[in-house]
Amino acid sequence: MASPDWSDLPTELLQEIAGCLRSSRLDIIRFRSVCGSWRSSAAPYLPSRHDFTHYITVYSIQPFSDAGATPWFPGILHSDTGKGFIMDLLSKNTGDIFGKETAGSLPKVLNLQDFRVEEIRKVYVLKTSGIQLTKVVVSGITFLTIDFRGKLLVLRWIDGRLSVITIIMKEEDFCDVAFRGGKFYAFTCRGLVITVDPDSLNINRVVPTEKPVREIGFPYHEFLVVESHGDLFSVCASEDRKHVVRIEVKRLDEGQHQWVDVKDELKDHVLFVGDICRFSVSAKDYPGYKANCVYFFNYYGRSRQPQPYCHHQDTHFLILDVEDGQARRFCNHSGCSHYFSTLPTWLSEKPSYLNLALQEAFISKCSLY
Amino acid sequence: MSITTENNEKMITLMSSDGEEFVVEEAVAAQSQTIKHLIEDGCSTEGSIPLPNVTGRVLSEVIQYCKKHSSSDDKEEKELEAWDAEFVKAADDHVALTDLMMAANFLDIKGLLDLVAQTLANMITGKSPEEVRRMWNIKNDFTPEEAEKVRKENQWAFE
Repeated sequence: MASPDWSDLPTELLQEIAGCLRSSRLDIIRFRSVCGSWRSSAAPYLPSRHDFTHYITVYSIQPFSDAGATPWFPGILHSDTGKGFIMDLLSKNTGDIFGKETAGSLPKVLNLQDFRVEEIRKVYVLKTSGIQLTKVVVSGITFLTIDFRGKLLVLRWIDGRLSVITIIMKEEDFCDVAFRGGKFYAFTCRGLVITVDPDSLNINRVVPTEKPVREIGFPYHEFLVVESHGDLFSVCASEDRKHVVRIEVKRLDEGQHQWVDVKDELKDHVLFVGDICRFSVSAKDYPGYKANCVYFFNYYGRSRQPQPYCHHQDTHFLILDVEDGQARRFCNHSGCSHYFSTLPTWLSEKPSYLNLALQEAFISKCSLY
Repeated sequence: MSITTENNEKMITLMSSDGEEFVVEEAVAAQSQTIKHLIEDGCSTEGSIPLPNVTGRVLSEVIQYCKKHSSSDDKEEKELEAWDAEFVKAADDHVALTDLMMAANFLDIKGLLDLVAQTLANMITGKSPEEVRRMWNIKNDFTPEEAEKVRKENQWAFE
């Protein structure tokens, strides 16, 4: 039997399939790029009515020509005007675009047809009177976030405004939030885990407060949570006065109501942990990263400032190999920071392509106005 | 032709496009709005109901789905979800799934249509247009003007 021509699929069925892709800008663009009948079956991507917050989409970008190339993970803020911003995932401040030194080498245009682009995750940002809150999770019209004092706020979109409707467990200082299986999760660095139902706002204690993770005398630590292959992992970095860094990774065992130590449970996964965003990818699909490792970027240590032994604008990495428990510190010359902060070599080595893209952008601008 | 079983379940016969006959309980067949209307219009009393757009292979899968979904109640939602996942996995490739989707559309079985559409959407997620064209054997039929529009849509410009 000859292969059927699937562009003949009835429009109503193509519309059904396109309807399932609605939430992804990338998938809608690609669906519309297949052929004429597919294009006419899916309307252009429009942000949904809940897209009233800023969100940064973390993408992975690899060249089609080289499947072994280490991917680039830029954060892109798509704006209403159609022009986007490439965000520095290393930055503490989501308003920072790349530093002046790297801005010149960034692409002005990215042609999706030339690269394998995948959406990794969306990172929500709430802006209020000059303050940006980056630890935000969203379910429908309800938001859970942590303000600059560590207070856990619930906000809801009511009558065209986003208003704080309650503060949960005022006595606790929270350090991270997550959304999984229809429930909000909130964490304190003392190990307390609660879930909050996005509709009823009912609170459930999943893990009771343990003893402080660090005794007094350990003046600095960071505690962040990342979801990977269906589980929630906490990554706790602490540093003593001699800059000796320890990282602990634990998995949330909801049934046992505790955080459990992790040995090889990350399997082939790699965790990327930073202030603005945390995500996990499979090392099989993303070459160049070591499986069962945590890349703790944006790590400035206890001063939360670049350390004197690193040059200005250097990016700071900790890489923890979960198997041997060794944390290693890197600065940007150590060959890994470029994945996040500057262009990967496979992109920057194509000046002719970039120049061409720039010219094309100029031409299309002229024809528009 | 309608016959009645010992359990007093009314049975009806469905005939596929390639002449295969399937005897199923009316409640199962009525998961399909199309068949339900045919039964209501009295079509089932005169022999089997012909389904000219559905082959025997696809029809047997559809019946499998309808049987499961007519025997389960809401309490078993989780189990049913798992069953659905296995069901589409068994359909194996996009060609079989597309046949299934066409049948679900013709027979008007909303649950099955949604399930297959979502499965196909998951299959094309993350694939480039060229990969989708190759997988589905689709010709790139854009006119130069359309191709230019597609190219622009695929360009992300940055400040």
